[in-house]
Amino acid sequence: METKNTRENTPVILDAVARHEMEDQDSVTIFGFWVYLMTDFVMFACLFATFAVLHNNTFGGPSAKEIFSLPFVLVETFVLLTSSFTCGLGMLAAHHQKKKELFFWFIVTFLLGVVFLVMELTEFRGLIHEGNSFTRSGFLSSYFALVGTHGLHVFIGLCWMVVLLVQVLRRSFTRHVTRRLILFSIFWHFLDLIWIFIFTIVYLLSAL
Amino acid sequence: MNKMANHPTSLNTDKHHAHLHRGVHRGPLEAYTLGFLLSILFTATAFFLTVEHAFPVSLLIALLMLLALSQFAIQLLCFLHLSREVKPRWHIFVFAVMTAAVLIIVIGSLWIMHNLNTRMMPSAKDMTAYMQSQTGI
Repeated sequence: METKNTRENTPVILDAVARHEMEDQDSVTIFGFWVYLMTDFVMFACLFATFAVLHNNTFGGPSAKEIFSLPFVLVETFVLLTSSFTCGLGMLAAHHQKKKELFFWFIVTFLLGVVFLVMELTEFRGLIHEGNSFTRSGFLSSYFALVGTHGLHVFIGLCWMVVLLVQVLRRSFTRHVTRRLILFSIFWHFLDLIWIFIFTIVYLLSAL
Repeated sequence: MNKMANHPTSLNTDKHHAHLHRGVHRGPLEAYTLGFLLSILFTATAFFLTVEHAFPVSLLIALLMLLALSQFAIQLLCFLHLSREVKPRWHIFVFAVMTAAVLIIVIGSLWIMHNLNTRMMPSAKDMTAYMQSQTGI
């Protein structure tokens, strides 16, 4: 623990060899995280395939056309897209070690994430309230599984963001904190990538 | 200085710390803004095409998928900076392999289930005829 703590607080000024080794370690960590995200990508693909196969199996219940409000989902999409953008702006601030700017952009990102999640849960609650929960039909099961899994990822991202902000506050931009910020930003951009397909396949194509 | 490797969320970090204290770079901000604006444009276009039923359904499906894939590519380039990675491009390699897996899963599932639906779900009339022929009623 002792050694770990000293390393945690190591300033960026190191001799070239030591720094090179650390950067190698960091890029391995980031690559590992990227591989995890790719497996997540495959998991979402399975959920998309399930949805694509089951979306007509309404079992006498409502079809996608009848229960989704497209303008509502469009706003949801813009909220998530903007949060992805502000997350990027926050990373630029982190790059220049501007703490206040990072806090500003990350809090904006956090709030947009919360708005997105609240909108999604409102939609879910409305559906369940009308008796169209995931038990209603194969279509609704696959819908809740796919969109719910994405929402769960967003929720985890929000928790992660809080932890990161506390770390930046307490330790400032050490090597470890910077690396974690990079990992988080990749994760958050990835969630927006998945949402492009949810928006197109689940909401737009079903409305045709 | 290599402008490409200079970015905080760039998947390649080797150059990142070396350039941590350099001046303001305009490249990344422009990339984010461009990605953001294009994404808004593509999302809005897809939305209006759907709401207005601007084209026949089959053409509309193709257009919507094209818009989604373009936006996917734009965000990979502008937000995740996939193209900024230097050799050996392991991130892109893993991404390509996983994309292949994704395509096999999605297209394979749809293909198989479509075949099952058309070949193994006869209409009630066919079913009755078949049962009659089998049981000799």
